[in-house]
Amino acid sequence: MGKNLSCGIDIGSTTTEIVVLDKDKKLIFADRTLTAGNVKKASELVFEKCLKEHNLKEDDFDQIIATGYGRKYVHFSTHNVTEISCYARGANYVDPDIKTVIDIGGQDSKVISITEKGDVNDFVMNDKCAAGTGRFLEMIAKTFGFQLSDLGTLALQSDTIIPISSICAVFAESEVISLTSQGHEKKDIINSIHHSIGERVHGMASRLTVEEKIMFCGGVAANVGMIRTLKQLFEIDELIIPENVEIIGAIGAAMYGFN
Amino acid sequence: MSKRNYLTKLPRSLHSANFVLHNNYKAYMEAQKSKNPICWVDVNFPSFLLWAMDVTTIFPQMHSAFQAQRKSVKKMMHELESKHEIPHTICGEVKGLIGCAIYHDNSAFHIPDPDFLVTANTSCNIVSKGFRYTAQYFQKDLLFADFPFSYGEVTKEMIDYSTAQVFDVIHDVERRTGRKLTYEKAFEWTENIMILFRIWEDICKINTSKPAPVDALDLYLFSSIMVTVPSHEKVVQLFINLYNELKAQEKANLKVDANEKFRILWHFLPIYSEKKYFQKMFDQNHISVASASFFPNPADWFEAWEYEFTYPLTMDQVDGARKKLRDSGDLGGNLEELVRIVVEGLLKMDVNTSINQKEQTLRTLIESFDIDGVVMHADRSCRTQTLPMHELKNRLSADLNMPVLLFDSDSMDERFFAPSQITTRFEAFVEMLNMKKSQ
Repeated sequence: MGKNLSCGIDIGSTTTEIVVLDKDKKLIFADRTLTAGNVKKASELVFEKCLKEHNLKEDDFDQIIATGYGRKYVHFSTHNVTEISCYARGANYVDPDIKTVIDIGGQDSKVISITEKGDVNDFVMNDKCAAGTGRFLEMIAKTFGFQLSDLGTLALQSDTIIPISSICAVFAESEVISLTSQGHEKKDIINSIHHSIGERVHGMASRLTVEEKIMFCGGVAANVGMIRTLKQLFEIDELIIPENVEIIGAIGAAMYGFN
Repeated sequence: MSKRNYLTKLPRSLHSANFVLHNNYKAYMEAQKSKNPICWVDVNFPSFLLWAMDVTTIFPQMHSAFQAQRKSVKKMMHELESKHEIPHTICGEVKGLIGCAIYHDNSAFHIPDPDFLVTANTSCNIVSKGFRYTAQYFQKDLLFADFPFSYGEVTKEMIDYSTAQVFDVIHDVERRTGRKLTYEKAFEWTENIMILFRIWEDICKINTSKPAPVDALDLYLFSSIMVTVPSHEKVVQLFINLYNELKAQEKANLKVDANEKFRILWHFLPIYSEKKYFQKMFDQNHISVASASFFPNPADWFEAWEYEFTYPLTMDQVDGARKKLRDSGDLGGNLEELVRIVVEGLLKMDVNTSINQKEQTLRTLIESFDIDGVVMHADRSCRTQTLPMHELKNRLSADLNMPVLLFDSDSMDERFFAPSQITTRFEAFVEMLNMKKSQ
């Protein structure tokens, strides 16, 4: 017999997160691992760890909801829900006043407009072009030989925006090398790349009605440079970045288990 | 997942439709053999006026759409871009039209070369440019009709101008073929088209039943036959049979999905090569495509003639409607009046109208067919129609508090179909439909 527990598993392209909520919707377990191209293994790994740590069995869960790009391949899930709906629900769990979610991940970016109940009002997605995603930052970090985690701090050292004319991340890489040769400082170029990504996301968001409060999540939410850029572009003072930003999707999935 | 009842795929009518199309292609070859004038014509020109002059009309856009349904345009697109240097940014519809001229691989029926070409610039000049390119390739004349875009009302000046444009084309065709367009012949062919539209209205109306007896996208083939195959008696009979087959299904309570959960409206062109993909997604989620924006606008549902068709529809009833149309005088008393009436209808076509009119049409369809959500296909092969879609989406979803999904793909070019991205968006849309229903 179930123990009124709901489990959410978010299988992303890079990482897999798991969250367990009890009957009072209190977070009792959270964990994370690298997906490493193996959805089955990653989901089983985090789930088995959860079972072991809390002395649980699969039957103890009323619902196991999978989300993320690998959601259909979690063989022990009871349902799967898109990450769009799960991010909406997860944001609502963190703060019911959140009306807009901006998610910039490694491979895609999305903007979701949500209701007070955490339902999706509307959404836009970019999952076809690296230019508006964290992938662009990865490429630039590699080009300059920096750690990805240092890019945000470097961007904050600059207030200069050099127009990046290429609309494609691949061609922008060549343009960046050219800008470096022209003598532009790396911090200025890095800030400009942040601005370029931010502009794409802002452009996407303009197709919706964007209302505050706005939550920023996804892998790029750890980037302080991008936080500043988004605040500038959206002309806001406050951008909510929750403590548990990596598990928002999994929280949302677990919340769906109570539906 | 519910499996569709085979009978809801309209097997009899589909068989007849294929027969009509096959004979149409045969007629092209006979025209070539007998040296009857052959014209490659744009779907936006009132081709029934050319049928009235016994000119054989071929629609390269439709021909390439049929190839796209068979998933046989990929190689053509690739060759056009690599060998013939057609820019990849040109839309698939225009590439398909050019491909009809310069690409041959025996994957589709052969179509004869034209003696001349006719195009119209209704809403989009790119198609006209494609016709110009094709005409240059064949070293044949291109006749061009310029139709003004309608931002609101269709004015007398617009009708005057467009009528003159159509007559310029007609007079040119008369000169080169030696055949005159008479009022009697023009009337006969216009009347045929009007009859088909009248039956088509009633066919589409059947889908106001719940659950829907037919997938609206399955009717698309018939709408394209209506526009591109000369509407002789066999075509009228096809539509009579289609009406009767659908009505019989409705009476036998045969539905696409007896457990219909949601009714959606599909806005704009289907994706020709991916019918099965969408059917699977609809079936998995108990969604009926109850309506589509190629359905006639319910606000225009015919009050003219006040002729009610009843089931089973017969040729006698159709002849009765024909007589009533003649007696009404609605097609004018001479050729000039007739062409003016035709032109006015053309200018009011959805492709030639502004976003406000499109919005009104969609709202009327949504209400008439009791729609739960709208799926909008932002078609790369028709950017002028795609352009207002974001605004349309925002207006409808805000005003009607209704989930509206906008996704981009390409009706013609299967290389631009991205199943995993579309699936994510579609599933999120279904989740929104479910949430809305539970409120």
